[in-house]
Amino acid sequence: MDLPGLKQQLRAALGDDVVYDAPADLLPYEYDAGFEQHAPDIVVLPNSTAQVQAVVRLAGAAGVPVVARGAGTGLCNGAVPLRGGVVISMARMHRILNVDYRNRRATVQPGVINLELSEHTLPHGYYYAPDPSSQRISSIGGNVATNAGGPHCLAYGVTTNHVLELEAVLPDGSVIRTGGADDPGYDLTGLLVGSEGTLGIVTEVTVRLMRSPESVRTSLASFPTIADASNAVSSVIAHGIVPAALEMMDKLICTALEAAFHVGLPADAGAVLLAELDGPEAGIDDTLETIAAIFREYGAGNIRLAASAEERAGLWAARKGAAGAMGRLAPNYYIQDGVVPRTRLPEVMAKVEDVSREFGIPIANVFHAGDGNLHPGLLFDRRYPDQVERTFKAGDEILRACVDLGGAISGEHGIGLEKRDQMVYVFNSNDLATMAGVRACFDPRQLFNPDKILPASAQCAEITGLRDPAVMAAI
Amino acid sequence: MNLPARGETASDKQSDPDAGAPAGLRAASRRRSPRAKAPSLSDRLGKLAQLEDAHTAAGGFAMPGLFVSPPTADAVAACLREAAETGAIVAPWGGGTQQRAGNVAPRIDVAIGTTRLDAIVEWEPRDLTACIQAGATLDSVSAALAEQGQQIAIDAPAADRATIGGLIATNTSGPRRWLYGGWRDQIIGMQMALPSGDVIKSGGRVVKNVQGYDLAKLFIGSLGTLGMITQANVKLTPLPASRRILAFRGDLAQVSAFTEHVSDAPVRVSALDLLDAAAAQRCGLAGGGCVALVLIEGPEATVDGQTLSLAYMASSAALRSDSIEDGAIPPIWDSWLALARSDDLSDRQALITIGATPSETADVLRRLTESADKHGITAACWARAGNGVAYARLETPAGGTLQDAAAAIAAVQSQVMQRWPATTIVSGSVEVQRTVQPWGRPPATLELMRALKQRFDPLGIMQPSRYVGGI
Repeated sequence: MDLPGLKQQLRAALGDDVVYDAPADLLPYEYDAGFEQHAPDIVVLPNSTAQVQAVVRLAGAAGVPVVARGAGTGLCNGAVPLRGGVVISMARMHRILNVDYRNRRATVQPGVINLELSEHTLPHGYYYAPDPSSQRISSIGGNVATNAGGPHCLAYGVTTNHVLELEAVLPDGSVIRTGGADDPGYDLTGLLVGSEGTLGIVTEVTVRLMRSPESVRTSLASFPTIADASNAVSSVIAHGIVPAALEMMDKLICTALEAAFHVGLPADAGAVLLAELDGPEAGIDDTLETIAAIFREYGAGNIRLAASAEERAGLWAARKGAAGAMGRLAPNYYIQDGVVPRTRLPEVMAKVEDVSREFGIPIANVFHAGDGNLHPGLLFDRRYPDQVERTFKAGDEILRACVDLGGAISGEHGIGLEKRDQMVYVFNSNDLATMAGVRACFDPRQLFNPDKILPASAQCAEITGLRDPAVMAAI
Repeated sequence: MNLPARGETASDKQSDPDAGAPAGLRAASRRRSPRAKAPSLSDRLGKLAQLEDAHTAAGGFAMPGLFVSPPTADAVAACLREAAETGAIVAPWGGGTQQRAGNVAPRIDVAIGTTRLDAIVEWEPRDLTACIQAGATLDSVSAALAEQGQQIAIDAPAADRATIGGLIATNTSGPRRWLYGGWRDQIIGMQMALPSGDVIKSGGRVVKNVQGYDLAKLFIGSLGTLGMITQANVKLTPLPASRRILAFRGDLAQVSAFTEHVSDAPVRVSALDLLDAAAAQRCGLAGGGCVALVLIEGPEATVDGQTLSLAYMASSAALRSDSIEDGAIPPIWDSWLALARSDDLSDRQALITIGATPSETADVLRRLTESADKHGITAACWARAGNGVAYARLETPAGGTLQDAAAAIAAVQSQVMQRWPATTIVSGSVEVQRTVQPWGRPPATLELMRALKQRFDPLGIMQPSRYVGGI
């Protein structure tokens, strides 16, 4: 790696106001919202696809790894440059390029903040559906990289279901435009979404816009215990009702949220469900009443319906501010993202409580109950190494429990560095080797976000799933 | 709850592999065998799977010399490996309803059928998810799911034969794509058998999972060129309490303005198609003019409310409304789906599909009709107005030669393709299929697609040359 040479070339090609390498300038790029930290050697803030392409070409020629970065809100260390090299921040590529209301689609640069797009289109009656809790600060490009979810993905699907086309710079420096659902050929768009910057760096995203619903009903129900609330969630789904969102908050998180937001979350409930319905006005109250009846059946005492748009917004601000509010509970928190089939919620929540007791780590729960997507927040203090150790062990125990119940190790946060070694809980060596083979198609030299997603074993191992033609021919 | 595995009884009978293999095939496999003394392909496969009589097809399309039905995903993978070792060309085979799709196969040595992989492997109704084997027909799955008031929200013609695996491999969807999306929106995990002999999986069984590359996306619509889909995990959708079909009639400009208006309104309809008079007639809606055909599903109160909203919008747009009784819904729905059927195409017919944008719907239908007229072709055209995909059933006049038919259909395609490159064709005659560009204009990302194909199928045994750009 000829870093001084690369710096010089980058400066010459892009200018001093795009390329940074002073230690103080590199500092903010050492970390994201996960726990690992590593400094890049160079940070580049390109303004255009052509500049991204130039960086990729120069870094490629120098054999220097490249890590693309959105807003740095990822929880799995996907944006941490573990081997140093170049971090490409997409922060300056933040323009909404085109909004086509007639065809309900928008083309944006990757640095556009998720909520900005909806705020831009809402006056026209349209919005961008995936709404991660980080939507006030996370970028669409980062959302695409992690295939981000959010509360409203219950009814409308995650990021991949809303991305129509992509422009990306590949590790060889070429720029591709991937097609939509009706373009013949392999679905490269679908492959790139969720690939965490390991296959290509997305430089333009065309997303689907959704029509704002005619009516929305948001209700808040208090349950005696998490088990009651879990059973109520299961029952709603079993009744064939898929609400727009169905979120659970436990007692611990409600206390913290109420202190921060003052939106009237009950202090005495074992768990609270935030349920939202949307769609045509006709019939919406019947469905609401069915849900309320189910909630009551499982012991819901107080069911409160948001009376105004402001009240509704307040409830959602609290819900989406949950990660921040955990700061009121402990100096550090570790948020997990395991998923279980919705019928297994009562079991897994019991397990989470057990783990909390066993490891002596308090856990606050606020999550996408309707999807079965947990977000246990393990509370600890980083200054005590034994707490750190117990926290990660407890987290691992919870993920194993999710997998044992037929679930997944990540619902929406991604794998990154954090969970790459836990991929083996779900996938065998053939599965992983196949993924490694796909990666090798795009990035044979492993220069794009190396060390992420796949366990080290799969990256180094002989690719058995997709054998080399020469080996095959020799059989 | 499992569907009865229909293959089970047959599989109990130990059959003599050679007895099941047609004579022509044994010769074919000998010809392909790289080693003189090696056992024939049918011998090798007979140990792994049941040999069946080869299928026959109309229209002059190549048919497999050998047809095998492996009982498990592992057996599928083992068959693929055997085929790879002998260099045999493989066609994955579901219900055989879309085997004419894509570039014409010069030869098929063996079809690997999914007849015996027809179980619902896992289904917890309260989770609204299921794991289904590739060979189950859509109808059989729908019937089983309906017992608990559930469905896979994908529509397909010939659903009594079309299999889950085949529908995924061809990325087939129908009118309700407008509300529910296609397979890429319903599939949460997949199991595949690869030419390497390995069975792999991606995704998971829960509605939300982001764990590693979403390889299932690559297999959706891949026409079996990367490997064989052996089972899929899907999201299920509750069956609606009530459904209604509405038809609004006017000229093309009026009706397309109406469909745009509906997709821009805060109403929730399941399907929103625009049919020309010929297509409408095929759906039993004779009466002239174009028709906006709308499906509304949901709780009764919602369906009533939506019906009123649409009727109001239609009358404001001076459209005439057909009255459709409840009893007429099933036959209209069936013929609506059958519009896009390709297994019944005669050698003078073709089905063309054009990827456009919703705002181009009227343009693309106009261009199609004009172009068909100019070349003496009868066309029934329709579009998923909300999705911006247009279709036409084309029929060349009787009496002409097949070459004339092929030339005329190719001319229509090339005219449409000038503006819409994603214009694909399936036809009933091998002659026509050889003349047209079945996949439309190749995408700019073809090299990358080739590299992926090479990774998955380095020896090129899976449907070689059938796919986009000759992949």
